[in-house]
Amino acid sequence: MKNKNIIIGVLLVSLIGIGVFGYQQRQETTSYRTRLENNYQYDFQSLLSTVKNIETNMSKAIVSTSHSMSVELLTEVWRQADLAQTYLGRLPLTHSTLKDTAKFLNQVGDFSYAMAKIHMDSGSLTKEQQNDFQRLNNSCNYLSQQLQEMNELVASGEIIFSQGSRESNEANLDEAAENLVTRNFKTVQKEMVDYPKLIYDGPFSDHISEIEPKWIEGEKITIEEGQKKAIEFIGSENVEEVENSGNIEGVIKAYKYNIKIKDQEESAYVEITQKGGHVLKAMMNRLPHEQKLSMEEAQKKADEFLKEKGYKNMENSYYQKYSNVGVFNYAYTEGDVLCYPDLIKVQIALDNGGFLGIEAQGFHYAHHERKIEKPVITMEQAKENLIEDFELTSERLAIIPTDFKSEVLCYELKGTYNYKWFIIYINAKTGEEEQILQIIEADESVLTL
Amino acid sequence: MKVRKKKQVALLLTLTILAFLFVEGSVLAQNVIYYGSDSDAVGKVQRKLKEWGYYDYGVDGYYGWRTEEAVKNFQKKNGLEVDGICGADTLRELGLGNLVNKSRSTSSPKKASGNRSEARLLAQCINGEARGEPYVGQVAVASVILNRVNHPEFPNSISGVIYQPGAFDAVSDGQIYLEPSESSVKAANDALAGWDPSGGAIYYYNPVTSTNKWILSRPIIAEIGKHVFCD
Repeated sequence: MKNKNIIIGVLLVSLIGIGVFGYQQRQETTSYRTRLENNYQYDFQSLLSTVKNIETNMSKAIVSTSHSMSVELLTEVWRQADLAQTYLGRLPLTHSTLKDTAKFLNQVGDFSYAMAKIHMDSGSLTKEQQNDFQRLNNSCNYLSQQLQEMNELVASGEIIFSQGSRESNEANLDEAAENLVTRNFKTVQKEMVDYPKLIYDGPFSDHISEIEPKWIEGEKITIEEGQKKAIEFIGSENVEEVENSGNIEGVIKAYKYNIKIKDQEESAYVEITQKGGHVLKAMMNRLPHEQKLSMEEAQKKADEFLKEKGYKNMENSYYQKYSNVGVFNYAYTEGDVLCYPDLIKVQIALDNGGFLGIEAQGFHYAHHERKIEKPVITMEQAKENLIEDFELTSERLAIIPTDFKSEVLCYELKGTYNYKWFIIYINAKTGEEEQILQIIEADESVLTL
Repeated sequence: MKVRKKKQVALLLTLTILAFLFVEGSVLAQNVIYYGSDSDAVGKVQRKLKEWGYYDYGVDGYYGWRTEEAVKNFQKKNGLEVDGICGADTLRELGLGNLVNKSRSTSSPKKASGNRSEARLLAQCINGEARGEPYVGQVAVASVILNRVNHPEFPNSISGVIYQPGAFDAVSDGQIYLEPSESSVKAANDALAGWDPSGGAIYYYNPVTSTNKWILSRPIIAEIGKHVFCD
């Protein structure tokens, strides 16, 4: 009897204990969910107001006839579009639900920026550009309206972001599709893709993805021929076993090979282009130990390596160091002109000076026989652009890539200002500043920003 | 009780003394000019070395390997310990004795900043996402993240892409906060340096576990380890 009472007592106490614990857990969960929901609400409301701003500023820019006002409005659109994109990316929705809306916002910003640049040079928009801009404005108007409608559902509590978010990731898209927010955004998205391709001077222009690699010389080769090339590259004396590990169906099509190195743990990965059988990239699967070589010594190894592989007229431009690896960038020189788009990178292990990797995709994309035009302005005229007290240390002609994968011939003026290294690129045709890079030299690396 | 109090007092005293010593020590620390030292001091060293013909490059205030080589040459010529670091002796020999004792701020080298923090975040993400994958597969996953940054349909920063809700399992389940392995760090840096074995892919999945019809319908670019990379 007594025992029974004790058991009942213990059970009762534990039950109350569990009850209190459960209640506290619930309280905590509710509090977390509220905080999460607050964040999502903030993102959504911010998205709403930035899209509204974009729409208004776009409308104003269409009406404006002054260059300075247009520049002001268009750069504001650019800024707000970037913000809107950020807020959109934070909403708890699957990527496939948002991707076209995200792309739309990116292109609105990017396109506006390209148009602002035209106005800055006091140019005027073509009829086509005006039409494109008007169409983007219409789509923006639609997006803004849809977001407003969604906002009413949010206000009435029908849309709760944090509920849909718990389970939503790419894996269970079908469940998430039932979600009201998702459905709404999907409707919006359908409209967002409904505009023709935009071609302009910006990184998100639709023509970028269609650019063909310029330099893939030679005939299409077979997997076996590719394998020979891969072995030749690594050196047949080092190869224990080769395995073709499939293809790369990217812009540059290639065969992939995994190569087991003789008497060693490490293996090599080599990509050979299907056309011409060129080495696209290679990596040795090895983590170098403690650094024994200086970067200078390592650079010599990289120089030798490139020469040995038959790359001619390559000049070292930058280098960086991480994880006991030295990475050296080489650009092709045509006469005395340095062609930065034709880029090859070589990795050297800083423990034993061995080859670790090569990356020649940039070279294969851009390299071609160039007919380099004579510069219109002289070096002396280019130098007139420099700020007073700029300590010039080197000067030369160079071809640099633009954001939208074209090239431009520039005077490259390297020097220091206030103890900071800069490279200033002056367009050799127009005399305008095309690009300014700051060189950051730290941790044995030279990086440009 | 009393004993305990005494002990506490003793401990407190020791700590105070230690703290005092520590602070004093760093105030009196001798200035060492090396990688990451402030540009003003490095600039002075470079100018001297240049005047005396040891250094032939720009006076830029950055202590790179060229400066180090010049310092080593200078040390060799002047019978100093050849370590490439401008300690007190080297500075005095350079006629820069006034730089020997300096405030605290110049004595501790700054860590290189900038894209290092992004490399770290990238390393954490691939550590969580592709730990068991072959090395090339890890670089490929990092490349997908970078390809997304440059793709109009995705956020425009590494953190934006990584923290996009639902985008990466390692973020959803918190594995991203594990300490990244050395190989993840190198893989992240390789991808940042431009090695992209994914062939420009913006998605990847494990065909064994993925049930998402939409992603399974994307054109495949490459297969590495357990992952399929697609456009």
